[in-house]
Amino acid sequence: MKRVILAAVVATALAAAALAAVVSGGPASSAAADHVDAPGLTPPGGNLQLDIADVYAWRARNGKTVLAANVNGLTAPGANPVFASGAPSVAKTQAVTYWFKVDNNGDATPDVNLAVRFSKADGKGVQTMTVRRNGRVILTGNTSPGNAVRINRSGMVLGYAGLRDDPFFFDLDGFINILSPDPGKSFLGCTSPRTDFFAKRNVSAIVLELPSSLLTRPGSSKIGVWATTTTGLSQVDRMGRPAINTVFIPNNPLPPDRVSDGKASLKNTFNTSAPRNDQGNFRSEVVDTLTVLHTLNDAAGDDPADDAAKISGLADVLLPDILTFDTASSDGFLNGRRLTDDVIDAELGLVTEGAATSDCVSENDRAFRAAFPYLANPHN
Amino acid sequence: MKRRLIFGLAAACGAAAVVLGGGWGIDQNAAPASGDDHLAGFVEQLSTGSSADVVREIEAAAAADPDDARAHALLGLGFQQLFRETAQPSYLSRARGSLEVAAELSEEDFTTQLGLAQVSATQHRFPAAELHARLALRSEPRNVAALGTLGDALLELGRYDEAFAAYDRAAAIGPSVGAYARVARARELLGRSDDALDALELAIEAGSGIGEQKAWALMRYGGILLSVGRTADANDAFRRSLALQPGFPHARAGIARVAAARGRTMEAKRIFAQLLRGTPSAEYAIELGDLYLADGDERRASRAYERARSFEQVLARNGVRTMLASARLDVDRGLRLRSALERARLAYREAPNVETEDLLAWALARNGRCGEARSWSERSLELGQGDAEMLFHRGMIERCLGRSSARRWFAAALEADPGFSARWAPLALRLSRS
Repeated sequence: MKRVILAAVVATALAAAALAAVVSGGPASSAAADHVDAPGLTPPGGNLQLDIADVYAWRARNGKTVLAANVNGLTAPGANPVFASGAPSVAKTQAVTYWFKVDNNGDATPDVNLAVRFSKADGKGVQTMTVRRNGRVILTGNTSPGNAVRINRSGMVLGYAGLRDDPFFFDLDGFINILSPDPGKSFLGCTSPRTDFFAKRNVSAIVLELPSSLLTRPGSSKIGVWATTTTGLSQVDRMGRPAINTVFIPNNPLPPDRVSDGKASLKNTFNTSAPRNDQGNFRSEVVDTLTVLHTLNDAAGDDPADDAAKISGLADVLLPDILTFDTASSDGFLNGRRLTDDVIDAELGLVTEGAATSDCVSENDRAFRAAFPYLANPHN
Repeated sequence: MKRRLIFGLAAACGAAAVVLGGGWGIDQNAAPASGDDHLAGFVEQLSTGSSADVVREIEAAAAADPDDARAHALLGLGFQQLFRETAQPSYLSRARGSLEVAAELSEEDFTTQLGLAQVSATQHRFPAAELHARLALRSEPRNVAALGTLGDALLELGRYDEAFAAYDRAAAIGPSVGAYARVARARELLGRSDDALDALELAIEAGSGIGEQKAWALMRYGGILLSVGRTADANDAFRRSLALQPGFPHARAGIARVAAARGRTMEAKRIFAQLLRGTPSAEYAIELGDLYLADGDERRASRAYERARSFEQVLARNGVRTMLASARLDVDRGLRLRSALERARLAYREAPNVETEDLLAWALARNGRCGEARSWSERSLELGQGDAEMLFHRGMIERCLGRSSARRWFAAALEADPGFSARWAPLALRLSRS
């Protein structure tokens, strides 16, 4: 019975991704680490431009901090999506802003707001790009069309925006079929490399490299990072750590069952809300999902007596959904997130109490660049 | 308004028409599926090109369990999709039939109510479309597809402020191609062509990674460019649309309209005739007829108009309210004018909007009742500055009243869109100079 329940949870969390991507094979449906984090098969707001796929933060070799956020998930080779420049209502067109929100005193509210805005694309698909820090312009430049890498510089600040290979890697099919009895469908117990669902797909990436002092407060190198997209004053999407909304805020968690209790899915509520309220809003959802996932290893003899305490501890870490990062440390996930970090393996072991430890996809399909903007060239 | 809403197979404003490779997206105003519509998966499955197969499967499921409300609802949506792809009007009645069965089994089901709202809009039954959209929103207040359909119904009912509020809410919740295109439509109605183009540019951006959606937005963009006389830009937009979605009929019709606007009527006629072989669209038949008439070929023109009439009749037999279309066809041709006036009045009563006000004005004028016509024309021009055809009608009314201001209206019509009608634009030009 537990297996059935778990199957339902996992299927619900990711069925959308599966159907969307597998059935249509097309980019109309998004899936990456925060993929398909709105009800149904569509990205938040029905617009891939505003759907944040992944967020990264790491310490570059030169000691500066690199922040990256990707949108336009699952873009097929050959397609050339652009960043959103505005959102019209009947009366007027409002600005679209891509944000990196940085908390540097641990209160889950932003202290540094990095705002990135784009113009409409010109005939060659190039957009102008403006980066503001707490309202003041710190960088202007252009997006890079196609494979080109145009680095925009202003003092110590570097900025890039354009099409890149999707740096996320994960055997999504294997996760959806995690309990399948058919050999090879699930990645449970896998020993040889499996298929990266995100191979040969592109994203639109925004990458900034800047002195950590522009993000931290005096006396502390620690920050928390999340990305949001907004139209006017309305937040459309947000993301901190990988897959929090996708996995832990299901459309149909068991329990409570969103179909039978008649309540709307909380996925979009999550997308449009602020991290500081996460514990109050979503802790019970996360605990419910973890409770089910922690039954996975019971058959193997795990004593469930300590599960509740472990789950409570995990829920303390997972929410608020902020990517915590010590800018003085080159370590990776859970310290920030580097491009090469196998975040899925790291999360799997934690949330399944060791029942699943790897999806056997351990690296990206393309080698990352050693230098800024670090993400690999897009697939053509 | 350049036949934007009218004639055609059901201006299903708002139906989530998926413009398919090889399939015919019938309505220019209906955006590709988008928004947080939880049926998108189903629609997507349909849009892989095997719609008929999928529908057959659901049909079998519904037959096997006649009490399965979900199966009947999905079947209704499946028939809607087949209508969008094939333009066969019988699918409309079948869609409604299945959805009504579903509604009897489970009255408050969201899918069923949204389906009924969309079929009602396609059938130009706007009060019903409003009702069902509101019922759908009762269970899912933030559903973008339902909000869009509600806005479409309100727009047709002439309740513009409410319609724009629904569009704004849809665009705020689901900032997507379909929502932006609706905003563009609202701005266009308000006479803000540049702002409408701006909204469509954002829609093109929003669909930039998805060929089909971008193709659709480009087609709408081309339409507005053409209506403001930017022929070359319009041609470019239509060709880009067609390159993304080969065979896309609305893009091909756009290219035909560009050809007509450039005086290349042979090419325009050839494209419309080709289109009519695959798509039983009254809109295309009328435009073809207008082109023949402009050439003085009354026999072929007549035949094209009769074809349009027969398309409309088939639609009417499948539940579509065609009062406006049939009245307009007759008023333009000067046939059955008294009955056409009655039909125009009925059309106005069913959907009291700027378009039916204009039709009523035009019908009254053609019946010689130009004083009454003038006040209806004034009303039709209150929302925005009106499109070229509405301005032309006003010119004819002023002329009928013997006023010298007529020439200014003809000039205004030509300034709004020098090629607004193969049939009437040459007359407007002559009268603006007389």
